[in-house]
Amino acid sequence: MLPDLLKHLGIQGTVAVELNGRLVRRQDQASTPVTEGDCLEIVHFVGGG
Amino acid sequence: MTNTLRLGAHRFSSRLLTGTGRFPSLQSTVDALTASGSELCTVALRRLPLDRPDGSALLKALPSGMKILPNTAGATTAKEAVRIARLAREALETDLVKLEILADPVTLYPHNAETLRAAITLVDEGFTVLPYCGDDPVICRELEAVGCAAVMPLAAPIGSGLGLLNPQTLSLIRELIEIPMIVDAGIGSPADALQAMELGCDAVLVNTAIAAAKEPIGMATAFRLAVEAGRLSFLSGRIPRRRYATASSPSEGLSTLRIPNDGDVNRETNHLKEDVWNS
Repeated sequence: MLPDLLKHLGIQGTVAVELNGRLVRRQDQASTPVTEGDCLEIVHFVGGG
Repeated sequence: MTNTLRLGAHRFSSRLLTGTGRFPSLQSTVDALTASGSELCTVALRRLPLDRPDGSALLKALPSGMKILPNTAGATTAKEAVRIARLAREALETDLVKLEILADPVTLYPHNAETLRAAITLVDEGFTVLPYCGDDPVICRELEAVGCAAVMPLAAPIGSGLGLLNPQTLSLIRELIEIPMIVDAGIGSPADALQAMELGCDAVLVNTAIAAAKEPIGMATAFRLAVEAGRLSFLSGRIPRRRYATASSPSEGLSTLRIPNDGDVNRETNHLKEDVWNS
């Protein structure tokens, strides 16, 4: 599942995730499977104006 | 007139919005934000580097009570901006978004047409949309008509520090729309922020002028005071400009203090002097 992968990668803090170009809703993360070949986009927040 | 700034369902007592980019360190960012008295600060969204997976360190360090305004900086089309806004809302659980779509890498001017397109979609999806836009009354009215919560016209190109290049147009925009106007981009010093507030702007967004100052904390404090002074001046109503002098001290009772000048027949008596003075 997605949270397992994020944990494996050491990802903490506030992030948002797209799986194969689709936004994964916060409440759906725990039930979202990740399989080989999937494309993940993980974003976080940095300083900006 | 209330002194509360309303952006959608959100209420703020501070009218200084602060950007968090370009600060020398995380600590100076936090210290300057605290000194600014801001209650709303902007952040940008970027890909998380997997070699530094502890994401969003900035968010954890922000002063307590600070609300986050994610921007869509980096977007050059409506489609990209909508994607960034959706990601930001999901991560931050906020409906606020500073919609920023740039048209040109040299001037960093906003792409008004793409911004309007994105605004329509984002308003429809329930976002509180604060669009960065040109200092043009026409696009500002359009953005208001599609349901934006405020408009954010530029004072000058982003990061230029040139101040209000066109105060006349900003003043006109303020008169022609109902929603708040937040002057964004190009503010160089507290004097610029004060001028913006004095002409009726509802708030200003400042980033580089604080972050790149020699002393960001001192400059943040100066901006806080300038925005407060400008707002108070606007609410209090400045005097009209006049072409000629008007004495601020009374002329009554002046005759007893004037020393008669020998040979000047008009100044031999108090009576005559008063007549000359008042003529």
